[in-house]
Amino acid sequence: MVASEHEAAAEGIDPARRRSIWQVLGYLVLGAVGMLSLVTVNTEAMSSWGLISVLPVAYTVALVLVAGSLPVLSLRSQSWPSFLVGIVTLTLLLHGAPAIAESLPRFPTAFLHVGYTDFTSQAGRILPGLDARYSWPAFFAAVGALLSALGLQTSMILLKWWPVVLNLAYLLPTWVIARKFLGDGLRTRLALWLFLILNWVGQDYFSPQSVGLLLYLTFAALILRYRDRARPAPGGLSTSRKLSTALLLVTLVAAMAAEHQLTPVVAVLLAAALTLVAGFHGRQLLPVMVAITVGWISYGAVSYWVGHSTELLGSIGDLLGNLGTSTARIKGSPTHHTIVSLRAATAVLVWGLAGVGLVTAFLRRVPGTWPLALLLAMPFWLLGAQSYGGEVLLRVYLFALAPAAVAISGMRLPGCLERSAIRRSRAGVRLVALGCAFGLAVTSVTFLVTRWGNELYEFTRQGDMQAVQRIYEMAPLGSTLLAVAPTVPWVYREIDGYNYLPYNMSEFAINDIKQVCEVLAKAPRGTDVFILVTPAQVAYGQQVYGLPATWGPDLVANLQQYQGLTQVYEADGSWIFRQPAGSNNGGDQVCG
Amino acid sequence: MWLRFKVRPFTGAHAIPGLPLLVWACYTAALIGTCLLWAPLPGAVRLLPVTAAVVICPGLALTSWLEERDSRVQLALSPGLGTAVVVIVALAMVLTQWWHPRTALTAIIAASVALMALNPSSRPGGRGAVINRPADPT
Repeated sequence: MVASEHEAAAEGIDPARRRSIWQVLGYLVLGAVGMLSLVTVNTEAMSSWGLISVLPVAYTVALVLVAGSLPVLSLRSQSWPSFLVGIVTLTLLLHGAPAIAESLPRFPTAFLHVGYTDFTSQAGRILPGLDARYSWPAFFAAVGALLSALGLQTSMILLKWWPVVLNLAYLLPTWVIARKFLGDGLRTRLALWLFLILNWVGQDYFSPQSVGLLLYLTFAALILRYRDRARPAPGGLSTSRKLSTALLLVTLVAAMAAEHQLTPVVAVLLAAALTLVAGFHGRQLLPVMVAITVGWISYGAVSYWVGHSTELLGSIGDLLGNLGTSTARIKGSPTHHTIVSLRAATAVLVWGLAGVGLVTAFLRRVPGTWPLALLLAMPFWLLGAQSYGGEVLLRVYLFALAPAAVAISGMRLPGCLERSAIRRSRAGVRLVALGCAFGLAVTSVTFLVTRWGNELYEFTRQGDMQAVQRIYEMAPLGSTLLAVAPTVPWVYREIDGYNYLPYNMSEFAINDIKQVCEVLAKAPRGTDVFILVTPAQVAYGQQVYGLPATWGPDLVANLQQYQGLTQVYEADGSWIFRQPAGSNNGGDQVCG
Repeated sequence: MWLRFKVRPFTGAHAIPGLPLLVWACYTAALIGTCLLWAPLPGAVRLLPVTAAVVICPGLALTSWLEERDSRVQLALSPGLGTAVVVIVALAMVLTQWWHPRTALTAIIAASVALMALNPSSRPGGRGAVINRPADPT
């Protein structure tokens, strides 16, 4: 017992309680220091390494200390309140940094989802023909209903803190899954810690898939919890329990089916695998789950798959092709190449460690290893089903992350963090705990690169936002709006009021005046055409396509010289060009 | 049997510490949520408590029927299940073109309270009365 504990005992305070209070205070101070230091961040000075290039030292120190604290504090049994405050602090530091450091909400696609949500909220309907996202409209309907009930005009208010709230929500079912396999001790806590630090995928922004993952994890937790064949069953289960479990599983699948295209597929695969291999007794539920999933795709998403059936089904079985489209993302500038390679390396390392964890669990005949292995393996089936626009590997990583974190935490190392080992060799265990703490701290810094490495073109500059607002002021309804790259924070209003042309980097990036002409020729006849060039798009071209630093100015010069286009706006590195309706003759335009 | 799970039955011997707290949390959240849903206050102020109530109330009510022996698990599964309920109801409103979100959310909260009250496990004096007593030492 140390001196302070003697003093505490003398004062009549439980030393463990006193230690817990100090730990909570420590987390609160570190969290406050880390988050407050972010106020000073100058995002304009950001380099191609993303957010980490402008983060203050105080923030990084706070993050490293919080991330590495779990194994060290657990040497003397960390209390629940201390752990809870610690994990909330870690979530805020890891996933909430841009909310403080950046003045505007981030990520262009989130703005698009704002537009769809607000339209549903105000009109009470969807536009299935507008976009594939509206073929899975449950997310927009749910958030739209909430906004409408509260009288809020826009969901923009949700964007900044959405990732923090969703990551905290993910921890709840992940805890149920981890506890099922690892019990109530340190390993379960470590699994939650790892889930946060390894979740660099960035699908937790304001999007259907963010809620889809919450539903999927809840489904997995529920189905695993009520699957267990090994437990004794004197008298069986009450009818209400059987019915309620079945009803809840079906409810979750129904919600997932209308929420996101991939999520219910993984859920149904998991249910099927558990039925076949690991003793899930509700096999009669499987046809219902399959019927709901297929039913929604056939009926609810009909406006998407009519005309896109090749896109939907064409890559089934093309494992190498699907894998290739994902790995093709490793390209661009040297920095971007390094960031994407680091992501790939992290994914391989996580899967490798999880595999080692599973193998050791199988060798030690740990009960419940099969269900965990299935939970980890099922998302990999997606590789054989779809390329998902080159994102399928990201989605596989995301769906497999919770079980991977559990498997890694459950890995049996000699004497690692075991109570029995503590009795045997205190110094050895301290060394292992320090090693684990160092590993977590290093991984948390790596997270800053893998998660926020694209921030140069993903964060919203004041200039980008002003240019978008200006284009909405200038462009009459019905105009055609065109961006060079997809990193524009627009479509958050009047989603059906404008014709947004798909961007085409390869055409614009070539800097060929003829290509500009061909793009303009795609605009509907007799409409004004507006072209928007912003710093985020220029950064995107440099980073993702490895274009030279001069490509942005070259493109602007090219557009300025193009006959028929008029420059109508220039501020903060953003340009707007306009082609009046009279000079646009649609597909009849002659380019050459 | 069309759905067979082999775990121990929920009996008085397995008292659930914390369940009364969850039951009352559900009722309190329902009351506050309903009041705020109809209160003439700015939407931004009501956003967080109303969202919490709309998600947590149905989640807790549904998980109470799982006869889960650990109330922490019940709490952990609630946000996901509550979200699923809100998602399905909102989707139904969009598909049927009957767009009355405030009424629908109030109905969800009311149905959650009714579901919770109907559950014997959460009723004082019912099968769930054991939850207020210490676990049977035998």
